[in-house]
Amino acid sequence: MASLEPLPSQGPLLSIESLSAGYHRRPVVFDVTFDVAPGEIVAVLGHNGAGKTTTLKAAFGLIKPLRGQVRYQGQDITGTSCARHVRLGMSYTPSERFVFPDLTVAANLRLGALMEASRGERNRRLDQVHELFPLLKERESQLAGTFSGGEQRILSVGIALMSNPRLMFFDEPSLGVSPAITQQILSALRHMADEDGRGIVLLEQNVGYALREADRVYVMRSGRIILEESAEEMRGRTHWWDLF
Amino acid sequence: MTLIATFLGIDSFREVSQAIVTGVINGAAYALLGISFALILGVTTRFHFAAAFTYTMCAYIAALIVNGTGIPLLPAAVIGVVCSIVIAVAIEGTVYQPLARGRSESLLPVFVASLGIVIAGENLIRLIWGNNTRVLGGFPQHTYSVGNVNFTSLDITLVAITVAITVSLTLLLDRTVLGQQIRAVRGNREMALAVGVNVRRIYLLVFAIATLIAGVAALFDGMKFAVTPDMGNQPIFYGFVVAFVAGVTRSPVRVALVGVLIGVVERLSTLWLSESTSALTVFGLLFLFLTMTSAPAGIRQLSGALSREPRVGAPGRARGHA
Amino acid sequence: MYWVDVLDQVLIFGILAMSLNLLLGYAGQVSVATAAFAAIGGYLSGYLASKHGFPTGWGIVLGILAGSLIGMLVSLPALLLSNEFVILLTLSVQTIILVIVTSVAALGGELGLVDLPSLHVTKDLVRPTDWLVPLIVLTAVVYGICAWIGESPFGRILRGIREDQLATQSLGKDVWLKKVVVFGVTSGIAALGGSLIVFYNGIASPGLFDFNVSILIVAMVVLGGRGNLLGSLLGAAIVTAAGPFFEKVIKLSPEKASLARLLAFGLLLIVVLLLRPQGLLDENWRPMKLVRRLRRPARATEEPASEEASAEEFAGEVATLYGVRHREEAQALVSVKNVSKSFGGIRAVDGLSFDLLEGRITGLIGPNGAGKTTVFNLLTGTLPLDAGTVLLRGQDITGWPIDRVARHGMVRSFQDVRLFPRLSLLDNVKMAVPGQRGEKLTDLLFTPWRVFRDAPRTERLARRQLEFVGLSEKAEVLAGDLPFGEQKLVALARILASEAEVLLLDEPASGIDAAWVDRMIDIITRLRDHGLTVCIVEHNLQVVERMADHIYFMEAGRISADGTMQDLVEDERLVEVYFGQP
Repeated sequence: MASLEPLPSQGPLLSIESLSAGYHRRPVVFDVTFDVAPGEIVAVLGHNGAGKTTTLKAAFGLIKPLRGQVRYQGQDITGTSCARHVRLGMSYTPSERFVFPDLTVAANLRLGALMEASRGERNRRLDQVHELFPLLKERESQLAGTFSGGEQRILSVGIALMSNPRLMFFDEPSLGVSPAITQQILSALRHMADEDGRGIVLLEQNVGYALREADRVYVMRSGRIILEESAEEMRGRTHWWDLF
Repeated sequence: MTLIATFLGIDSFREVSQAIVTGVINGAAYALLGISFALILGVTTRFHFAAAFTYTMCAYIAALIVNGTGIPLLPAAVIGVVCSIVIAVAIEGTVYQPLARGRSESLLPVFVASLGIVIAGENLIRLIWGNNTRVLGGFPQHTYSVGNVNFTSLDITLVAITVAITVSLTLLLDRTVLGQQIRAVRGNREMALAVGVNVRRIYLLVFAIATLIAGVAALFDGMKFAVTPDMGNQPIFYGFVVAFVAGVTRSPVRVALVGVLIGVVERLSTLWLSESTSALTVFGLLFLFLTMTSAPAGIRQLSGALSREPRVGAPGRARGHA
Repeated sequence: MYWVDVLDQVLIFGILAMSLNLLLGYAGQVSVATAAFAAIGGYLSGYLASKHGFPTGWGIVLGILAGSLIGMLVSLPALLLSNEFVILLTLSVQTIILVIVTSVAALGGELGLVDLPSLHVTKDLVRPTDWLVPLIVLTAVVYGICAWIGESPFGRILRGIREDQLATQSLGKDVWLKKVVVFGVTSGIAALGGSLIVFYNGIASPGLFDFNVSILIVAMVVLGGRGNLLGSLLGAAIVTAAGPFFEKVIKLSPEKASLARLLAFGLLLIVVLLLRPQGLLDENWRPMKLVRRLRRPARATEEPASEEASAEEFAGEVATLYGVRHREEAQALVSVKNVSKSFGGIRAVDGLSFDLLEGRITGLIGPNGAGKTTVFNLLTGTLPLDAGTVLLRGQDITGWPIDRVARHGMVRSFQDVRLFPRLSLLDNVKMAVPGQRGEKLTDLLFTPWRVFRDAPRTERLARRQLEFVGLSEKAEVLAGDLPFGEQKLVALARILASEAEVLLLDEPASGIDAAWVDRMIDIITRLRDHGLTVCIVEHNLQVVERMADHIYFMEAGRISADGTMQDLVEDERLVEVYFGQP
């Protein structure tokens, strides 16, 4: 995989503290605190409307937090622009509409590496994305909008990888996708975390799926975090009905 | 052939071919305007009516410079275009963007603001420079005749430039990184933000490009006809019509072809209708187009409403179960 | 004399602006064809008077009728078009009509009809002073009519159309005919305005009715305040009176003053849009509020403090109103048989069948993407189904549009709430009350006293619902200003006000605080006890367990299991489907 420079300091990659966020100045997410370490896959679980996506958007800079702090490698980045987040080494993959439909697969991937000036580096990343997902090379001149849902998901992971991020956000990557492809994506994510030390935040409603490869989980309900534990502990529960 | 011609009330084949050629020439201008609007509307979703003002300013400033100073046509034209671009970018930055911020439903405020700019702008021009019609001269004029069809050097240049602009824009959108970014914003704004595209800057750039293209159309309008304070209104209508009919997310080539088609249809209609009513054809067709696409479903909904059953339960009366 | 002339023009444009306000401000339809409809009225009455010696008064009446009719015809294609296209459609109407009046020889071409006889109202109206009193009376009448329409239940539906057409329909209100009617009313009054312009100026020329005039009127409405009729008069006054201001005060020549006022107006419009987007006068502002506040500055509240109804009391009241009773033997009130729906190649709902028993709460749960909200959409007619039938109280309602289903007794709430943001809570709930007098234009015009007498009933019913969800002190607050949780409660109050016997609640508990969840569960279970039939889609399984008498489990478009929560929880396969394979 594309190499990442060694981290300048110890400590979490991402640290969110007492975050409140919402739309039109009205919070739907209250007092959220969590962190992600390098090489860790953190799953944020909860059903529709629990506030997962809003939290993610606030962390990534798509919406401005109303309260609280977002720190990346110790640096306060609360409320800064998306472009800045990307330049610092973060990627964001939404739950719906996660590709550019009227551009080719190749153009989609190239846009993922928009912030990278060096052509050589871009090509290197492209090769590695192709290695991970050969599909994206075979069909590189196909329009992304004509891909199936699952294929578009794969493309979306490829786009995220093209920016060589240290921290990746994925919003419900399993939604509407066949088990085979979701497994393929999940294995790739695990590989990225283990081999390259990337931190991955996975938002999911599909608990079983997320638990397969996650290291730690947070559970959200009604805009708050109601539980934080290791994936091991979560897997060990007899049932999850009362969390949801 | 002549039988058909007399049946249709046309004097001669020559008339038809002249109409087609003139139609293509007019259509070239419509094509430029259509491309300009499709770009703005498709990428930024702004209903940029104020383009009527920047259109007029472009030709006006060029005319003022040519007539008032010794500067020749070409540099004056460039200055005119640059000024109109500056105005357009300023409008987007200081009026549209603040209005659209944080609001999901921004069509009306942006549209009405652009109406305000048009009202203010036209009257500003009249106030400062009077109501006079000006001439944008200086273009070497020759008339050509090919088999009884006439056109001027100005006309040919317009068509050539239209082709050049259409091709350039297509290449820009398909082959350059900037073009990819523009198409990315047009296709999926959130994803564009997510990969780090500076969407606000792209909007400004799109306004600049689109105003440049419309400015070229304005210059030719001024050179061929006249430069007046309200010259922008009618062309802008046509621009919107072309953009909507062709589809705002379509390629520049398609939009241009639709523009030319509309120009030809309008011109052909003058064989039967008078000159001043040729606009009737275009807008009449637009009306029909809009009606046909939505009326059948609309009438179905309406007939459903008219044949509805009486309300269940009158005021205050408890409904029992039968 | 000069100022009388200015005032006359303010009044005439005020009439035009008020008419457009009904269409643009209340109903939210962006029309740039006002001047064209004015042209219809003006040219028709002018032509009849000058070329055929028609009495001017009757000519005006004919003009109004012609304008109304053409307006209604134009509205037909506009019914389903989004606002960008409505702009384009009305733009083409404006252009077409102008081209016609400019080119038809009988109408005088570019110059128009000159030397028109004066309008005759008891005497000939020649000088501006002659016109003043008739115009004041006429403006007051038009204001009265527009205010009567705008503030009535009909006007409330118009505002509902503007805010959220689907939500309005989901409460049982028909929107299509309303749109046609309001187009007709607006264009009729515009035609009246056109006749006034023509007789006032003594000529009917195209220049009086061109596109610039149309956009000027749009600007007046937006500047003055959308949804506020006095605002439209204010907007007209600002535009018209600005001319004299520039002439007399700043001492510009008349031509320059005219240009300067438009320049200033355009700039003012932009500034107001940036700083105060709703316009100068807010749509919910009334001069009476100012008077009231001036009169009683010390009073804290206006209404006597009302006691919070106990849940039981309320449920009993509502049940009596609905006429529902508890039945021991529950029958299937809603029957869904073999319903299917595909999107593209995906079968979202696949041969689904289930029943909603009367007087019971039924739960619908399943993993995300199972198609639960789609089921609600299909049942209520929000989406057309591909196959299958839906029966409500034995009546086949398959394929019925959403408002018809609602009127027949089945109403749904929305996952994303969909309150009308710029309407007060009270207006939001009032929208749902069925059987209101004054929702049809015929009621308003021909039996106004009945409308008047019926209004308190609607008010009472709506306030009661708000009281019950504990939000009666906020009755005048705009729905858009409430936090999400409270909005959900208002949505519940609204849906209850619809008096539907079958309520389909889409995620009623998501996004609200635990305390309010409890209250909501309390309200609904008591209503169930009194015979109401409810189906809820929920992800919060605790809520489902507390509320539901019977639960269906849905996966991949089909119902694969049903029973109590206990039954479902013990099924291992369901656990896997719901939470995903570990």
